Amino acid sequence: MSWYIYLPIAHQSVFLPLVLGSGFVVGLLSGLFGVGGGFLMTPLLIMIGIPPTVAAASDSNQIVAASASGTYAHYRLGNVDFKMGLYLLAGGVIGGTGGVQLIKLLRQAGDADFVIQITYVVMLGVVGGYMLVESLQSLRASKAPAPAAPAPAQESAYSRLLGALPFQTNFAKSGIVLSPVVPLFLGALVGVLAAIMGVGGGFIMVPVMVYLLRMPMHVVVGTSLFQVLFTCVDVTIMQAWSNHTVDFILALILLLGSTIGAQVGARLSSKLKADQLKVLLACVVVLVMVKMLVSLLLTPSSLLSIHGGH
Amino acid sequence: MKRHAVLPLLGAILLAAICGPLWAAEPAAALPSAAAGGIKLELDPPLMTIGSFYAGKPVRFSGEIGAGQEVLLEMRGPQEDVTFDLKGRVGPFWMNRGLVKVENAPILYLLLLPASAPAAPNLQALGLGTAHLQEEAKVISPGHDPKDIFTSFLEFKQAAGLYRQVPGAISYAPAGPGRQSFSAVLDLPSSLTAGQYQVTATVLQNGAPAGRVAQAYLVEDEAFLKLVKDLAFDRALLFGVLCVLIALVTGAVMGVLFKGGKGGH
Repeated sequence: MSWYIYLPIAHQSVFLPLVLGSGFVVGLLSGLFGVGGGFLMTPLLIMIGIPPTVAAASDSNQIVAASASGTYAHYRLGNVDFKMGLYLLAGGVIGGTGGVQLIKLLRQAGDADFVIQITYVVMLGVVGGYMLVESLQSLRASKAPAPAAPAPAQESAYSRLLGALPFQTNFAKSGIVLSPVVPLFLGALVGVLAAIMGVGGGFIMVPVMVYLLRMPMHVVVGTSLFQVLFTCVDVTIMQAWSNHTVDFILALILLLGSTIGAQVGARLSSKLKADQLKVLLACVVVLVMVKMLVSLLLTPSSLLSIHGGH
Repeated sequence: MKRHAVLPLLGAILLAAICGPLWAAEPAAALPSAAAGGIKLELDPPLMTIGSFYAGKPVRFSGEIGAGQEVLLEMRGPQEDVTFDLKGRVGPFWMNRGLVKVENAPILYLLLLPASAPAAPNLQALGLGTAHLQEEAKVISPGHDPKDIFTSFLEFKQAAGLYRQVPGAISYAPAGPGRQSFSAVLDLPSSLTAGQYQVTATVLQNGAPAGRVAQAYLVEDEAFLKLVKDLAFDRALLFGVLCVLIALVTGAVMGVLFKGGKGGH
């Protein structure tokens, strides 16, 4: 019995415990934070030596399993707002379709890969940095003694805008009243970014739900996984059909690790406080951003890379 | 398709994924040999099978040549055309600065040399060595020196373990009057792909070519890997849908398995 396994589409063998372990870690994050993990898994697989195109496509396949498992676990906990998830998904499909066309134009125009990478760095930096600062402030505030007589909070312009929008709908599971226009618009925005970056978009969707839709953190995680599940089903089928880059064996190993990790993550998420979860996710996002930025700045080991992946 | 029909199919595929390696057939026992001009070459195993647990395998070369002669052993894969992104620096960032294409270069090139290996120019004159490959290959690199691009191409292939020259890899032993046997072990890389490879033994007498023997070497996938590749390339849509269904079933099964555990909800 060898510890190595041969991947028929990637045309190479990999160290089995390493791939299983990577799947577990990413699944853990998926269950913990409600992100698909694509933003982390794909770079990890490329570091292992998997061709970028195969890494991205096979990763989508394993996210289907991890997010299905995670969605089911959160559904049992009552943490999935299906109504909100469907609005976000509808927006995501519209935005994703537009994003695919945009990336085609970028590829024709020139260096799309650089645009993709720099979009990653900027998005991860903004999202991760904001989450980190905000959640650290929130943690500090929760430890500080409460003020004797807090001044009445002034309604922000954003809140007034949300309240002025038509078709105000009650999202009972999230405990908010909101116009469906907002999740549709934000879903579309995330869809565009997800298509450009080639990921499910969970790591952008989670902060959008928390800060712009103002959903409670425990519902955010389950609902995000629900949305990521559908996005990755679509991506897996399209990648297998159009590019022949889904390595079933690689995905199977990853998903075995990730589904276990997702279940463990879902249990851990219910034991951690929302602010602790946000600090952890922010740290992960910032770390990935730094890694990507460094890879853009350091001299690459080879000046050549097989054309077709990013 | 009804659920009762889908589940056994998915189960069969999962089972095949796990048990696939067990189906791997052993290669045929007979060793191919080539003999010409007093050169004898044998390879063991005579056929390389890539199974699910393949992680690179050794091939043993052996044979006979005349006393006082030297042998150089070459294995090369089928030729391919590859398009690369070429990175360059723009400001502080490394980004893709265009496409370059390398045509007619072998997918794999491995060369085993004796301890007293000929110098690179001599190898090139014999039609051997990575330097000689540049003569065969065609580099299309608008705005860039093809020599620089080919050097980067060699580095790329060497880093992947697909191009290698191994000096001192061949050992000799007496094999009767006026004859000597040779042997060498070549470690095939883990990124080997199925196809027909070419093995060549070049014999030198006092540094000059004294004979050459070539034979084909077949590398093939075992049945399960072949099935996966056929599905992925010939029935791509079905393959994609199956991948999703298997992922969904696995996710659901894991969810159910965890339901009964301590702390389950």
